[in-house]
Amino acid sequence: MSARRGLARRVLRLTRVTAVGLLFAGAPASAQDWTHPRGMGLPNPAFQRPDPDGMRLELDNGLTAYVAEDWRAPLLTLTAFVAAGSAHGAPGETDVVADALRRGPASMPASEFRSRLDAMAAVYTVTAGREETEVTLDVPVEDAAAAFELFAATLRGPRFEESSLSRAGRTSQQAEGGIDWETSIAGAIAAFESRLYRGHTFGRTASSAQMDAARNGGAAAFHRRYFVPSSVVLAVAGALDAADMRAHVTGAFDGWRGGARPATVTFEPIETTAPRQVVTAQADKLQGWVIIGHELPVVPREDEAALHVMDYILGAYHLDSRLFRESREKRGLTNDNSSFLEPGVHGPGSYTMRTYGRPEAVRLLVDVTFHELDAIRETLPDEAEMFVAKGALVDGLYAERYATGVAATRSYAIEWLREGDHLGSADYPARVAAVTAEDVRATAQKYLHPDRMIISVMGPLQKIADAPMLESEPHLDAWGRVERVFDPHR
Amino acid sequence: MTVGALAAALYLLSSPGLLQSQPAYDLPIREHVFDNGLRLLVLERPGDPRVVARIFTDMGAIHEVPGLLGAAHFQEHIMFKGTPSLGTSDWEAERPIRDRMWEVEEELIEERNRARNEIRQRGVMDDYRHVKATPRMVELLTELEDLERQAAAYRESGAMKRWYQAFGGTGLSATTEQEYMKFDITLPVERVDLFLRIEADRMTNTVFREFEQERMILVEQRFGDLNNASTPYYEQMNAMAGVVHPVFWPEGYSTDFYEYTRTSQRALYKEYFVVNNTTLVFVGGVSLEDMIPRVEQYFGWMERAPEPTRTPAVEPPPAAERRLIYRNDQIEPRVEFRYQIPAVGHPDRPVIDVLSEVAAGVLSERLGSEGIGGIVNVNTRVVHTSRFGVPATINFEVVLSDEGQINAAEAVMEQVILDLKSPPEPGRVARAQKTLRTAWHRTARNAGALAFEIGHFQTMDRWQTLPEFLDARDRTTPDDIARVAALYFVPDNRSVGVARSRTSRPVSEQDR
Repeated sequence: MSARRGLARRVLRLTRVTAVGLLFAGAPASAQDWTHPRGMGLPNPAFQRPDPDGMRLELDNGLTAYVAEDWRAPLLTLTAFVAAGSAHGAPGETDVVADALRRGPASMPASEFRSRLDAMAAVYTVTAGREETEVTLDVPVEDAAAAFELFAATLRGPRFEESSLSRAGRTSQQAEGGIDWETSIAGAIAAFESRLYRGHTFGRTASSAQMDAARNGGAAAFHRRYFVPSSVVLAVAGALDAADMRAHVTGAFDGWRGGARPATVTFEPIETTAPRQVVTAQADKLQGWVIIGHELPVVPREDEAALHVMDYILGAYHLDSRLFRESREKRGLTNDNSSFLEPGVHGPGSYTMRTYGRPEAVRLLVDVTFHELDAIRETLPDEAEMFVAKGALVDGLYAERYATGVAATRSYAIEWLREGDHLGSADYPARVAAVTAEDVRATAQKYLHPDRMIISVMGPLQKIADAPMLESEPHLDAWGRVERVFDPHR
Repeated sequence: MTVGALAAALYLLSSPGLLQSQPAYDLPIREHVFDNGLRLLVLERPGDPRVVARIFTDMGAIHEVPGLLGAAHFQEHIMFKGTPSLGTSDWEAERPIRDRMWEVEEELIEERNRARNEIRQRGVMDDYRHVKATPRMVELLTELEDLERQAAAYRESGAMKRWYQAFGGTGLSATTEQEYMKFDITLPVERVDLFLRIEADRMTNTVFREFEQERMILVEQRFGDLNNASTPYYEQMNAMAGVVHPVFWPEGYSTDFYEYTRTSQRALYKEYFVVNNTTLVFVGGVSLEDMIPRVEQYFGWMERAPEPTRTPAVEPPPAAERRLIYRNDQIEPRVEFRYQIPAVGHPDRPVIDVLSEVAAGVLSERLGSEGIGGIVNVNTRVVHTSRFGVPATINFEVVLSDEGQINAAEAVMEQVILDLKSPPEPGRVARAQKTLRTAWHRTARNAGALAFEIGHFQTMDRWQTLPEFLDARDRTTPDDIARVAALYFVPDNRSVGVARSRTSRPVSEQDR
């Protein structure tokens, strides 16, 4: 590791940041006013999130909906969040259910469903995750009545007939849409997840026999069990009076009967173990893609704010994180190096760093990433970093989640489905404000474990190995035992 | 009544929204032009807690010169590198180092020109270099590197981004296309002054820091494009479809990236990033009356500059059909027709949007009924953007799974385009219009996308064209489509692209 990235230099640099901030804060304004942003006296935003209780509609059958007017355009957005995903039931069942949902209600051929969507100029998507499924229909308000009817009919009884699905998607989340595994980071992610979830419920893929079983009644039974009103939360927003939308929801869903909501399943934890392992996959491309990470356990609320602040400083997907600055701004190695905090709902998730670059940059990208992981575990962030992260999380990202009718109903629906209340979002700003630099370091030590990470590299492996050393970066095998895979899904 | 007309009438009856006279596009854009030429456009959404802010510069890739393609995009990257008041811990200490870099680079350019003038490019398909490194060039490059290292001691990377985000900025990005460059942010309405402070500074005081690092980022982005095997195919099609206009040029070749100098970039910066070549766009919870004095405070002191140069290139009228055979084993087989079309601002351009929607549907159906299948794309995209203020093309493309279907697909496409010269069914036109109208409403719902469209139309033509353009699409008739198809879809205006594998060629091509 080069001394340039050593601790002393980092502390010195961070000290300078603070000093300059104070300097400019006190500078007099010139004709052209270049007062530092921290010295501008920018007022605090007056924004308060809307009252979720006023948006909530609860039907007698247990279905909950969040309804809000949104007059930005004459559109209506209907989204259903369902507490069922690929980790529930037998392998393949969610894939078949998602396929059925994409083909519309049982009462009409898939071609007619598609024609009706086309006539409405609708956007319709089905996304099946490990623990939840999301169905969205976006239409002009002039088609509101037909859209509610079609949406409810599909959700209540999707078209299992004529399913041509013969093989489960590589993962449920990736089943929709084509992914070019060799020209995007998706291949490296798949290789990473194939190791992370090996032997875990989240890593299951369906066999041909399981797909047959899912098509021949298994998926329909899964749908009957999990797609019940009490497992569904709707987000409804558009350019209609709220009362009208509530009436539409009631009319379309009130007659839906189903069993009790299945008991919440807590999925088994997963823990990667030392030593680190390296998974490589060959792709004859101009760049290599890198995923570095491990599991993320279910995060208790008391850790959430500090984890978000730590992640923001380290690498959360934005343009001024430590990973971004060190990899891109200062070294010109990559277009991006960011972290992805992806918690599960009632099971494990993952925490990964993702980057890519020309072959001669790949080994140094790995080295820089590990250096930054060590740094955030070992040292305290400075005052400026804390100020930036807290402002960005609360005045930026949090505010956007509730700024429009579409956004707020969506956020509240997810919160209700997962937590049954909105307490977590209510006090989120206060929790973020209370995070200290010590909390950030402690959280990094609790949730980041560089000694047992999986490193997934996909790209021109020989060129990566043969590239001359740029700084003091080691070869990939210095990070752990290398296992080469040719099909990331195997 | 014909079957088609009946279908259209029934369709209209089933869609009450369409029975209203004309859809109203709610675009209450308000304008103020300052004495120095700065244009301010505001679309007010009272009560919106946030505001989308965009700054557009009327400069893009069409202002580049061969050998320096991508320079406009590179300038966007450099303009994130800060100013004397943002991005440095001690400008007074950094400045003499930066000044010395300009001097060293000036000498380097002269030395390189001298070396280059001694030897011309002779190779075409090899890597024969047309410039050699002299010992003096090596010395100067070494000194530049050393100066950059010295300057780095004062560097605060990412400052312009950091302070936006610290104060609630989201959607931070920038884009450079053929006709514009823009910087984007969404802020709490109370903090809109931050945008004015940072962008005024960026426009007048950019320091060209981390120059070599950012040069490599362009290489990385180019590699990212080239990882997609279809990129070279599309670039070849662009090169064939247009003869001289830079709108058809690619984003830069790797040889271009190494030609950028601080001096050449400064020329772009000084000429185009001037107040009278700039448009500010705000969409959200601010008012024009509120914004005028704020903008005046940060931009009012700037003086009007000489009018920037526009590209003098005029695409000559096409005079012959062209055909590209692209042999590659990495991309799916495909066939494509391109025709040059007029720019935004021309009355035929909105009709072409409707025609595109109609054609995509007809082509998909016809290919399906013929048992050919394939993925149909009908678009007006060149590189990334779909609309231009300069002539571009409409592209009809079918991507096939079976190479043996190329000839059949081409025949179907030719017939479909020929059929467009007769008025299509009104119901089909009405559906296309509804699709376009709904897509626009999705744009308008997104304040960022709406602000982009307002600024984009201003740089392409004028912002007032936008509502006229949307209305004109809704007024388009089947006869309009037939007229436009007959006018533009003629053989001499056609470029045909065929992509097929190297390993499976028809007999007629095997000896070529």
